[in-house]
Amino acid sequence: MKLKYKHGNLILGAVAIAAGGIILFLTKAQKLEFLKNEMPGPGMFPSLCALAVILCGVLLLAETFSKMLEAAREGKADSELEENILNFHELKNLLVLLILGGLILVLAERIGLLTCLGLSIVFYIKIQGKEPWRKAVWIGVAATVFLYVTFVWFLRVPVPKGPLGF
Amino acid sequence: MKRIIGFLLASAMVLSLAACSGGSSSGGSSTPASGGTSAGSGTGSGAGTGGDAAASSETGWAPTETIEMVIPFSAGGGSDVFARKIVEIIELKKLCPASIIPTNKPGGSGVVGYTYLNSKGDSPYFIATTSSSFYSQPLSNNSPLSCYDDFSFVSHLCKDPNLVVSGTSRGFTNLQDMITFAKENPGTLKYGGTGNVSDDAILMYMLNALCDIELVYVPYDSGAEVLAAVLGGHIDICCMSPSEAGEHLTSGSLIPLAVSADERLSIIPDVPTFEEEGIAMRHQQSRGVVMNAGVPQEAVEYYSDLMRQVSETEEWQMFLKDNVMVGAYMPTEEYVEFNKSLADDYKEFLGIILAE
Amino acid sequence: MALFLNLAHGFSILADPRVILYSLLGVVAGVIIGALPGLGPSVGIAVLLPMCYGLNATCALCMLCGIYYGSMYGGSITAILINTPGDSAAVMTTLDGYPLARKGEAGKALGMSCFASVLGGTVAVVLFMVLAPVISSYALSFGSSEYFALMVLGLTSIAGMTGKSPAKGFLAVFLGLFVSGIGIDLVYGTQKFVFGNVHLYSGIDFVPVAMGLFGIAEIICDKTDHSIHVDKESLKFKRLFPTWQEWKICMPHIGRGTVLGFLVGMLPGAGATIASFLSYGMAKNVSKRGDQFGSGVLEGVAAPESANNAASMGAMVPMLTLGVPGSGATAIMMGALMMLGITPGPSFFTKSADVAWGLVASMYLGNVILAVLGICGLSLFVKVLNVKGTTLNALIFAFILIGAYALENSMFTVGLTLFFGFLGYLFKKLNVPAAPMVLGIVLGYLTESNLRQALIIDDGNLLAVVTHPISFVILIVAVLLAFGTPIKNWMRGLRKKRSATSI
Repeated sequence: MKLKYKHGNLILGAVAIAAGGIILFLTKAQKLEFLKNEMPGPGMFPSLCALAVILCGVLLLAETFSKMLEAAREGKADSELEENILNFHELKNLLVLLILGGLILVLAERIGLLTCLGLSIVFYIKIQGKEPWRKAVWIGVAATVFLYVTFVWFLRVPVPKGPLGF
Repeated sequence: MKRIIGFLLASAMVLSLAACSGGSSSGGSSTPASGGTSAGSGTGSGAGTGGDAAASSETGWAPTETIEMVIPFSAGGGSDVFARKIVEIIELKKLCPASIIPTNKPGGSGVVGYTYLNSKGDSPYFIATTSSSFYSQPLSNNSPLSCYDDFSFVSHLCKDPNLVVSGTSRGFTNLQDMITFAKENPGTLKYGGTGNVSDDAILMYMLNALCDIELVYVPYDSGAEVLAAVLGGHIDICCMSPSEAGEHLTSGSLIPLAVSADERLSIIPDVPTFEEEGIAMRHQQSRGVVMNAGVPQEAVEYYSDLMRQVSETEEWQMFLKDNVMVGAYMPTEEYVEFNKSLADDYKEFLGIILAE
Repeated sequence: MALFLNLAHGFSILADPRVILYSLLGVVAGVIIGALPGLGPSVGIAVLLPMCYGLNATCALCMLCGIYYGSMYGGSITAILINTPGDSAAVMTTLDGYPLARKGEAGKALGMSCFASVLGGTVAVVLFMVLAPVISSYALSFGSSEYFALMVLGLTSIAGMTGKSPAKGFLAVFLGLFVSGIGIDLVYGTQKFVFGNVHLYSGIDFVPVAMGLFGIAEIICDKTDHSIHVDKESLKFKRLFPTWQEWKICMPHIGRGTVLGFLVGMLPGAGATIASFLSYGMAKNVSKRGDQFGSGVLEGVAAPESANNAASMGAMVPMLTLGVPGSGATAIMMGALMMLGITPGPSFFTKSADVAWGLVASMYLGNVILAVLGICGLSLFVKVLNVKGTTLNALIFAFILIGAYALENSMFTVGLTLFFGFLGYLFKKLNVPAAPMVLGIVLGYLTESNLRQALIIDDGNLLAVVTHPISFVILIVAVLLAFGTPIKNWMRGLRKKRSATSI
């Protein structure tokens, strides 16, 4: 997958403008007044921030376009702008972590947070680190025990517990 | 090799710390007393119920599993101290065969804790403490629960009197000074309090209504900020609990004007109550214990009796004295009535606040 | 003279080995807890509080203080090693500390962090000892308008962190400012962008955001399949100490950071976080290597570290002399004190002289213990980096998530951290700096609430708010800082033109 830096910037600028717009819309929708009793109301700061975000988006677009035009005029490609910002390894990391994270969120209340964390350690080491199963499981178990001792026993944090009691 | 030694040392330290902290009375798992009657803690149980220190309701219900006391606020705060003291006394006097674990479930000014309690259905093993946010959040539409119907009212335990104090910058010496000034200068005096729908705010609106004056409310995030602001002269008056004000009451940096309570406070015996000054206000923060609405009646009665025993101990009396709170034990039926009238009060004044 | 007599008395109380033991325990526990992502001094103090029940007041207080500043240092360990600040005061340490670690100079960064912390802390204790009884009224003179001015000053220091593309830096700041406004309105109680979600009532805390934007994003973008190469040479004992040259550069920063940190820390509404921002900003403006800040400059670690330890000392001033706790951690400590029967307040130093001066003496001791611990533990800490990359990442991921849970005992915070982790990844890819967003979150809420409080107090008159003497001065400084560089350049340009025309 490829995404050029300059396109990334353009998308960011556009998203910023859209985000600012959404914030302004939501502010109106929640009836947060800009001024209330002649003083700043609950809507003032979000609106000002939204306007600033839109402004930043516009500036970013302007900046990127001018750089692109300059590169086109000079006839040579600006190496920074053309750089591909996506990296397969990172995307795989992202996917794995998001999936693991999502599973933790969903399953923690059912099978216990520590169990989920332990499993996520095992799977991450296995999938990303390409280690043998034995090593992954060992580290996972040791880490879970350490987390248990530190957070549940020592710090007495009431973590969601699973059917096994932790 | 070095790494192994280092790791062992570190674990030894962690474990020894854990062992030390596990041995203290609060929150550690106490071994359940064997069998029914537990002897030997008769001294603390106060007046007359004879030898059986373990509470039991008339139908003989007693807990057999660990009980969780839900504290809807974070560690260190007033509710936390209150709840943990109750647990400590119960464990000290062995009043309960099962162990009670206090758990903090902060968030949403108490709403997270109460909804968590609510999610436990009719299990008789979850109890929670109440404070002013028990009323203020539902009545300002910030909670899916109702302070009238969604709970079983176990017992009321004590009240936090509210003290109205003034800084030194305006030169007030008593309540009448302040009211006279306020009448002549509406909108000038600034009154600080925490949050928007707290007891502090309600007290000001009550004052405004009852004395026909116009104080202006300045909201802060915590009692410490209010204290700093009034000591520094940035605001003129504020409301706080006597323990928050501490030494400043007697050292002269804060002038206590009046107390919203049933009687004068012993630490400042010269300060009148609002009622003595002709203002019909005795609003205080109420602290009690509640459970879910569906919990079986016998369990509720058990806990009510348990709380009665706690309230009769010497340790509890000392705790109340140290924190300048007023003991007011009410069993279930009385608490239900009291809750209704208190909730109605909150409803009335929150309505005024929210209409602004 | 009386001062030295009192201090000597304090040290004599320290002679009790139990006091020393509890101080040691406190510092060690504090460093460990501070190092765990997401846990800060408040958690440490709250957790070890039960241990204090049986102890006498001096031992208990010394232990609690040990935890307090131990955790200030602990937070910087993870900030430097894995780019995950342990608490808000350690965020600025990541900016230069982590790049230093990546360059293989983790030992130096950790060493400087330790020394700066200890120096800052020790000097702050001296300031505390000398000034505490006298200067408490200064802390009270800051009202909402003054705090607003201070926050504006803090925001201007962000201008220095925008990196190559100011538009992106400011975008991050304003997003952070917006996020800080989510929650229940302070003045009117209305729900702002909460949409009925109970967990958002008190807003989004900075910690899950920082752990996600820094920590998790770092894990996602970790391209290495092998451990970060730590040059064995750099771990040799000698190399852990900054060189004489580096000392000379960093000392003035440490000095300035300490004084600034102490003064800002004394203000109940500010604290170690803001102190570290301001110190970093000041260091960046003053240093000759100012524009290299962010790529691994040692002063960039020294300045905020000395400031945040000095600030934690400073925060004890209003707590002990006025009974006004300046932060969550000091609030819990105050509760502990009252539980032990000591009422902090104007007469703390006279009525409870034993405890007070024993405490001051223990602060010196605590800093010494911290220094020893730091040096001895350095090689151990850095060995962490020897662990294979993906294994380390898996463990950090788990630590971050459980730390996120422990913040409020709720899975919502865990989800929030993951969300900001994803956002952090996007930021890194698009070259948007993450630190300004975190600053925005920390400062935004305070700026807005203080401004609105100040306006209520001054009856809606904005001019009155900005012309309070202290506020006015601070705002002028902020304007100068913000527009300083363009004005300097403009004036330089003018001078060049003048000299050109005069030739």
